[in-house]
Amino acid sequence: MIELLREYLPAILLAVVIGFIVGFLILRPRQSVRLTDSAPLRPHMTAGRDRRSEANDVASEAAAAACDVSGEIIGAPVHRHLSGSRESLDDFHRIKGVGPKLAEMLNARGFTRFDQLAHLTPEEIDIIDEQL
Amino acid sequence: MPLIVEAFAMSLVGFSIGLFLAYLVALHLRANAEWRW
Repeated sequence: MIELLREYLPAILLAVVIGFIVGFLILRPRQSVRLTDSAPLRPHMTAGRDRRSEANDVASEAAAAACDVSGEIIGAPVHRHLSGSRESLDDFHRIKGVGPKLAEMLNARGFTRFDQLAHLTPEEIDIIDEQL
Repeated sequence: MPLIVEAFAMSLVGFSIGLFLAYLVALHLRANAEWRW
């Protein structure tokens, strides 16, 4: 056996080198980079996008908060008059007796949500009634 | 034993030794790449 090894030593060494190169090429740690057209949506990207929130950014959030506080101090129900950041308006046509014209009028006066109508005080209703 | 078989067997042995060495090196590289505190 020793004799055999000694006899074939150059060939064995060559085979070792070739095997090492082949094995290294196959087994080397590789990093695969996949390129896509769209960036993946990570959790922090969607965290602040609550559709029901009244504000889209820090400034309008601060404004909403200031309205809340100041409204409480002066006793005015400010909060519910804040126009929401909802992209779609509530469909006033679904209220019985409200047609397209009245819905448009209400939208023009800044009413976009059902809860804004629901929270109207009798005085406010009178004022709106007069304007219609 | 024919000479060609002998030579083939020896080179196969050498090749597998080289492959094993490459495996060890790859293992080492991967272990080094792993993050540890």
